[in-house]
Amino acid sequence: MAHNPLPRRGEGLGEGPGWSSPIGLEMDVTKRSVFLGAVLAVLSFGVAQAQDTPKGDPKAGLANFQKYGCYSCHGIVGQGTMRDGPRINAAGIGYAAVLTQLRTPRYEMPAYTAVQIPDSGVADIYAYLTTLPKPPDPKSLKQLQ
Amino acid sequence: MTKKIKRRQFLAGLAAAPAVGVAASATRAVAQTQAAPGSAIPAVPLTDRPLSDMPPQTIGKTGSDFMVDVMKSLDIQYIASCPGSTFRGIHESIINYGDNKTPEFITTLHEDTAAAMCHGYYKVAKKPMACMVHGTVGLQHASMAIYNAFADRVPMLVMSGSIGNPVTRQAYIEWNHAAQDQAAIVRDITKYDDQPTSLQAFAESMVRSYEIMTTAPMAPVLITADGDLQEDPIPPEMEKKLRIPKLKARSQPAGDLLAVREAAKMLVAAENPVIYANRYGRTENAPAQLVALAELLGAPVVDAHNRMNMPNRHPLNHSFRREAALQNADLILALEPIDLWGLNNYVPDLVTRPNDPRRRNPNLKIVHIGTEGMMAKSNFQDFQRFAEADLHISGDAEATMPALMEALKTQMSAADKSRCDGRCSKVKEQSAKLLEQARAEVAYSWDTKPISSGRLVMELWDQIKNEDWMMPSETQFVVDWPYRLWDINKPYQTMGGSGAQGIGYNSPAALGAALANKGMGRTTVAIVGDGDFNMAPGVLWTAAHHKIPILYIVHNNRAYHQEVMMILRMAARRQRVQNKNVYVGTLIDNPPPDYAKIAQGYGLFAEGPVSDPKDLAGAMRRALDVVRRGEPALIDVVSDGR
Repeated sequence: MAHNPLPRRGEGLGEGPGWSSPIGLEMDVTKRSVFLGAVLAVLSFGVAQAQDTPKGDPKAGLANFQKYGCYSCHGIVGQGTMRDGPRINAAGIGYAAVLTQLRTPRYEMPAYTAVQIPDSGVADIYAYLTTLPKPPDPKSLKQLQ
Repeated sequence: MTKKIKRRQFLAGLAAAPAVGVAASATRAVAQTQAAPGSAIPAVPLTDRPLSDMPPQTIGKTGSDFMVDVMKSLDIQYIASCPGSTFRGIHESIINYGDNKTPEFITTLHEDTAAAMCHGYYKVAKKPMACMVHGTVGLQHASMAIYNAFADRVPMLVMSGSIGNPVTRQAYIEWNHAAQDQAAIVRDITKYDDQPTSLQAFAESMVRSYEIMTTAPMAPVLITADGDLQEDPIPPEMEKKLRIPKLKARSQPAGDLLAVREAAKMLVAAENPVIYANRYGRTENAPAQLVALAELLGAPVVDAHNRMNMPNRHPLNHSFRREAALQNADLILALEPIDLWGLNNYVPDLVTRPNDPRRRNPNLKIVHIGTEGMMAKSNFQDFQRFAEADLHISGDAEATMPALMEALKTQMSAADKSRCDGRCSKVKEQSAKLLEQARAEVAYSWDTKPISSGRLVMELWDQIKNEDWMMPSETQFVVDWPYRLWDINKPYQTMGGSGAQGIGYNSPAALGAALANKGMGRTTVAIVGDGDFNMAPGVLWTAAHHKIPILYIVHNNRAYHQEVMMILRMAARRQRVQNKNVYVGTLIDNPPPDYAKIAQGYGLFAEGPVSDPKDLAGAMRRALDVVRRGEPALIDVVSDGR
């Protein structure tokens, strides 16, 4: 099993499931860049292994994303929910890192074994996350100005 | 001789004075077919009694009229209640003797709603509201909201009734609604309670209650008014002697001056002080004072948002780079923290629940100013884990602030001032990109269906940003987007959370806040979860009936979503295959409740379910038009989990 490069809880991602934390404990969003940095470091590893990334079905991936409850902490398009799960949409995370995090998670994410989610199911989820449309430019949204 | 016998003699005396046409009555007593032992009324079956034996009316001032005088003297503007026989005397006095003003009777459909309204009202009005709950049963209904307020250190005047004398209770129901010591139900979660046995004692106890509950640490109080005391007329000779003590606001407990000077010394010596504020903002002066302190020290502020502590866009507000700020600190000044231990430690939700210290400076010093430890009770554990500090100052943090500022200014040399100014500039630069980062983050889920909380929050912001607004609801279930993206700069615009996380807080507390905002020209908007909303949907009728303007947005993720995550966690931990039943018991679906129809049924303007983010703006515009006209409205938004 590859070493999991993701930061452990409290080293960057802030709080987990809300009731485990007093109200008002917000995650440190600037530290998210540290997290993403770690992820990007993995990305190069992931790119190097691109040929090992199994082909997945994005449609089945969306179904799995809902069925296994990934959406509940990460949001329906993996946008992240700050307290409960980081953004995994367009985070540049390689398949190997996703699989490692899923099987032997750092931080508080529950572990999912191959018996629970087979590798093919993870590949579908990965396909879903990596084929999502790009978000709009925030500068183009009048509601954000 | 019992009080009851005295009362009977008094009534008999009035009845024997035909010259003044007096016929007094004890309505409850004459309904009995057998007189109480020692009663002046003979034991004659009701139907056989001549009418002349049944004094049908009282004249003059009653006990509950005087009780209303006491409430007026305390300037209690509103009393929220579901009617109940144990306080029918006070109820009637409020609406007729008191002309339904100061207090005005606010009708609710659940006692929990009545108490939670008091919670929200105080946090905006900064003065207590009252609720009145039925003996035993109503008090138990209200107890959850009372616990929330207790854990949130918010005062409210809880009033109840009781027919204290067993021999005058009607059979069955009045016994069920009586208790030897009904305050025991909530004694662990109130600061004071009393069941006065005379009107003079009632007046003194009410004023005492007001002073106690509004002095930090604040909390609810309970006064139980005896049924006979409410309903009986006041003997003229007694009326002359009754006196309502004058309410004098007490000063808040401030920290010891020597300790404050020591705190100032430590702050001046620190290289990287950080201010942590949680339940700090007690008055509308609080944010400006905190900004002044932060500017003087050049210190970042981490705001935990349980009060309106600091404008969110101030460059020294580092709440969303919390860990970066705290990890760099060599001194943390904690102002009214709720969980000082949890500020620097963590118990992750793993099988072993390890105790993980957060990454901190090994030489970190902690100065704590607060009152949360001054009202620890033994049963409920809201006092949190024991925490060490290098300097504990017992006192209200806001009340202590002027002395701390003075001590700092006295102790800071010109060199210290220059050092702090330089640090201030650097700290401000560190927060420069927070807003930009948040805007980028929210865009990721801009067009999703179900609608993301970010889109919902920012569509709402777009509608209200140019007017005077207030948002009383909690934000943690909408990813705290308002604190990250709105411009929250007025001391009344937010008010923190429930205290004890007892579900069912947001809708009624928001209505209490809206009641305080009524007539102030503020637009009150509340985003409430569907799980929370379903605990108190009747609050909508109260809003419509009393024309309390508020926009409710139901953040409808069709689930107890926190528990969805919890059960998923358990299933994963136990390696359950397929998770086939994982959503049993956590979804609020099949059929999905139609919240717009529910609201319409209660008499509100309502739209929904809104499923397409493109439809949000129009729905909000139409609903806000209704709110601006002085009425409540609701929008049901089908939402992503968070």
